[in-house]
Amino acid sequence: MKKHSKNSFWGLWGAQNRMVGRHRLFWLFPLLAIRLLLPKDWQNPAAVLLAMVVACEAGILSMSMAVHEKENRLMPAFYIAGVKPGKYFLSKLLSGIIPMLLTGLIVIWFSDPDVLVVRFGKIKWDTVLNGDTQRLLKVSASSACMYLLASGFAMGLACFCSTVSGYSFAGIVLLVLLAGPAVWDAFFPLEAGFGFHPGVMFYWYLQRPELLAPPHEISKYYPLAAAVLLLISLLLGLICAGAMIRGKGGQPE
Amino acid sequence: MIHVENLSFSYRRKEPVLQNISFSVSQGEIFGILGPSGAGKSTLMKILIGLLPDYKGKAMVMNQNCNRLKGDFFSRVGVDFEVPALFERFTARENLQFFASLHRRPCFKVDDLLTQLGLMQAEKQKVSTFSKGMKTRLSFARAVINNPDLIFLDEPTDGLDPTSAASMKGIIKGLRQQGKTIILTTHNMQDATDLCDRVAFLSSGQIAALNTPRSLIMAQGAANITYTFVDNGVEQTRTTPLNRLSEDDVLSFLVKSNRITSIHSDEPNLANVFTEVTGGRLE
Repeated sequence: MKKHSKNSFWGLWGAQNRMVGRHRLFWLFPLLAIRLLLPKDWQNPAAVLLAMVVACEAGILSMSMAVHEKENRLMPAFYIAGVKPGKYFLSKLLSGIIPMLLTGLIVIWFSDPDVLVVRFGKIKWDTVLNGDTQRLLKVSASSACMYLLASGFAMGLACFCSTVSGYSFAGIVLLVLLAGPAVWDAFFPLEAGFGFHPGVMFYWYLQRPELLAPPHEISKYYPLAAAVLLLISLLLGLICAGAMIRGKGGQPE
Repeated sequence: MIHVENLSFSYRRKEPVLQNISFSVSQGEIFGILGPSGAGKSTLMKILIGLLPDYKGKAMVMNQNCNRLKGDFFSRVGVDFEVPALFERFTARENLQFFASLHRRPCFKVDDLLTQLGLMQAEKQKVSTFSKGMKTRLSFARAVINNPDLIFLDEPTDGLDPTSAASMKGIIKGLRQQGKTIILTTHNMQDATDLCDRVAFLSSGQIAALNTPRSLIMAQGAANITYTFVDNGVEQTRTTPLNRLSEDDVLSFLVKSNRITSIHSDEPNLANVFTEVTGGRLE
């Protein structure tokens, strides 16, 4: 007899990373393209946009494993192993959060290396503590939020899709819906403070909160609306995870 | 271990799948649920593991109501589903390590299970490359890895070659010797006869008969003896009940005169009994 783990969460976390973790590295290629091919003026908004798109894609990709598990009739086995829907959904969410935070950091650092200057193995702390680093952290937090938003909706899709191919199609539609407006917001932020994409707007809001100041009263509710959307997405993900694990689970009569 | 009383269940807006079922299973018993596809075997199993809580009547497993399972119930139960529940993209070892990591109680060593089920050589192969029999064996290992007290097995020898099936039956008998309770769902009559202490025939959502395999078979009456002989150049066949052999004068005469050309017994089996009891076929 052997004791394998203190908590089933780590088992789920490990399987999740084992299955989809390496796919998250794909964004390194567009990152290099931004750095090497785009004009200097476009690099910053392009990097923000990339961070958002990568976050959406990672959220959808993370939840694709739920479809794989459904296809392989694993949900009843999870239920029998006592896996709670909350723990299941959380393991999928958290397995992507740290990579998303890192993504945000690296994306901005690559597009603008002066943000964090490292010379001769020493960090110039005065540079680290200035406003550029705040910007770096804000993009990082924004991409993590975007990941959470996409993950909840993607779990909803996973609940309704019975095959990976069907989920892939639905995932592309979701990606366009979530990331499409980011293109506009990243490249053409409206001075009035209005925008179309919660993630990018969150970034701009943190970057320049004065944009959302009066006289545009309605725009100050934008962060609240984004937070409500995020909450709805996470609740949807939780409910759908429960439906998949506690549902009929694919065991044929 | 299991107590079911007047259990009924129907899916939404459909005919009842189970009707007034009652039975009990003691600890250390192998209990077979036999029936054709659609008889309600899997539904009954789902109710007993808590997947279908909206039933009528009483269903208790390990002193817990099946619609309110909690505590350490899940750590004491193992289920081998009819369709193997495995990560196709993981290796055999990774699958077992993963499922072991989900349980809080000490689990069997992965190496021991792989060796016992003849999968050690394929431990690093992805499950997607496995044959049906290998998946069946690995799925069985997954079901028992947490050393459960109560094990549900759905067609455990399905897809296995005769040698592997015999080996699997040996392992199941070994689990019973360790005091495990096993619920076996199958339509393989030979498996049920070889393994089960008691069997229940499930037909159209009702238990048509419940007893030991031996008792059910014996209740069908004695075996028959069929023999053939040549009389005036024409081959003839006669049948006589085994328990009335001495009363058959023709047979006695033929034996004394060495004129029997063939003789064999025709013993009833569970499949015959099921057909007789339910009027249906076990397919």
